[in-house]
Amino acid sequence: MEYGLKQYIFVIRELTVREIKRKYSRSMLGVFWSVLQPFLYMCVMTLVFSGFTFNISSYPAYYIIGFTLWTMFITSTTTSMTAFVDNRNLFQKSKLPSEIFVLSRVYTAFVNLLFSCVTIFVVILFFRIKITWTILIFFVDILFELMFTTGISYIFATIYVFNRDIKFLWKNLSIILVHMIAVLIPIERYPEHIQVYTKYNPLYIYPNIARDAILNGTYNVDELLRMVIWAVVSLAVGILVFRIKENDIVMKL
Amino acid sequence: MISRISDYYFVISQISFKEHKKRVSETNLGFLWNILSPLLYMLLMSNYYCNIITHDIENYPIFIFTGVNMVGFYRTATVGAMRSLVENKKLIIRTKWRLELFIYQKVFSAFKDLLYASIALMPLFYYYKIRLTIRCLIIFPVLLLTFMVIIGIGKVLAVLYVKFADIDYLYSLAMSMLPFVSAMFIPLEHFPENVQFILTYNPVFLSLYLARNCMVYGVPSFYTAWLKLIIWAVGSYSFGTYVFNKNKNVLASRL
Repeated sequence: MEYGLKQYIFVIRELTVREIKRKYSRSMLGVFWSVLQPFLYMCVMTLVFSGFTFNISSYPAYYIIGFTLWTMFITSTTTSMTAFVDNRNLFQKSKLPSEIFVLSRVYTAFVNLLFSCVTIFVVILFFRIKITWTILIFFVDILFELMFTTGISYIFATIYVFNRDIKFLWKNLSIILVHMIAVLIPIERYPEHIQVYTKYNPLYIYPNIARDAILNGTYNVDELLRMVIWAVVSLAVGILVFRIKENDIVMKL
Repeated sequence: MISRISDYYFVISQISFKEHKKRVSETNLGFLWNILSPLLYMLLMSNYYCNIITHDIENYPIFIFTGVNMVGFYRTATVGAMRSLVENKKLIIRTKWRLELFIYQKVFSAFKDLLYASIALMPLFYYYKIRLTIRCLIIFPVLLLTFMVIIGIGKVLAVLYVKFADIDYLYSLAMSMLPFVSAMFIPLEHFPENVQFILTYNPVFLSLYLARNCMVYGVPSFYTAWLKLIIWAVGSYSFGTYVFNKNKNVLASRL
């Protein structure tokens, strides 16, 4: 990173700002939709599941926390997949390291998460949920999820250069994944044998830690440990895969 | 309507073909993904719902498959139609083609996806020993009515989208609710009484109900369902076309 950390971060932020501006260029409410949309989805889902009885204090809060953390992961991985291919002209030709393309997509998803956090806090205030010190765990949790997501995004971006089929696989897999991680319905509703698998799924762990921290004011050391391990391993593998394949990518593009 | 469509059929099919080709370009399996993707989706969805939701419906996977395909058709067609005019801005400005063309093209493209998914469905029908009876032919009028509903809705959405881009977000919200209000994975009887009544007025539910009855179960459907869908089809198509024609001049200048 001879170019310096400051310039690095500056470029990432500029790319992100440009993407967000472009996304909301034609709409009236603009960036406000980043806050409004999760809120509306929450209302819809609460309505849909209003007939069910769950063993949780507040379904809207349950849903929105889980959904926000899930959304960051899925938008980041899906948009990062095409990051290298989209920027094939600039790959390794500019002074900046090529990781920047993936990182800007991840950062965009992260910024959207921050907007959705506004919605979360509004919901917390509205439902008068008691906040304890465990809310700090929520911020730590987001950080680790960011690490985890970055690692996976690197891997996907690298694979996509060589094998475009992964786009379709991921599209279908993501639809089924969202149902498998107890975002829409609490895990108690799942059959026993599936509950066991779900508990080890990182995409369940991160939202669950967040929900426990905010709604219940509790934490589970085992889960926190898994949170860290998944993040570190994922990031390490991601960067490793990218570095190993970097030269092959240049050849392919 | 028919003669106009045949006039432009060549253009519609060409644009659709290019779109589909672009989607699977540079993949290893290429064209196969058009069939494999819906097949994979159906298998995963049915696997999930069979495990999580307790049910007492026979051939539950087929029940879900048909639901997934019909809801998917409505969604892809209407969302595609909504964005079609803005997406093809350059083409509209340069050529003198009728604006409806782009809407029909998107609906046609979504229909092709439905056909591919149906091809994927065939081995599954065989596996679950679904016998197709002569009643299958009823699917043609059902499809025609569905087309009319979709085209009408698509036209209204397209006009709205040019004027008011936020409709995209609002409509995607409605689409996210759609699986739950069209008996995609839960049959009508499982809903509470008062909700059932509302559901029977949903055109997506009606299309799906009629399609399931004629293709999967081979039984006649309530005439009220037919009546409601026909009213939806005629009403939607006429209203959509009316709104579209009224706003044509405005659209061209707005784009």
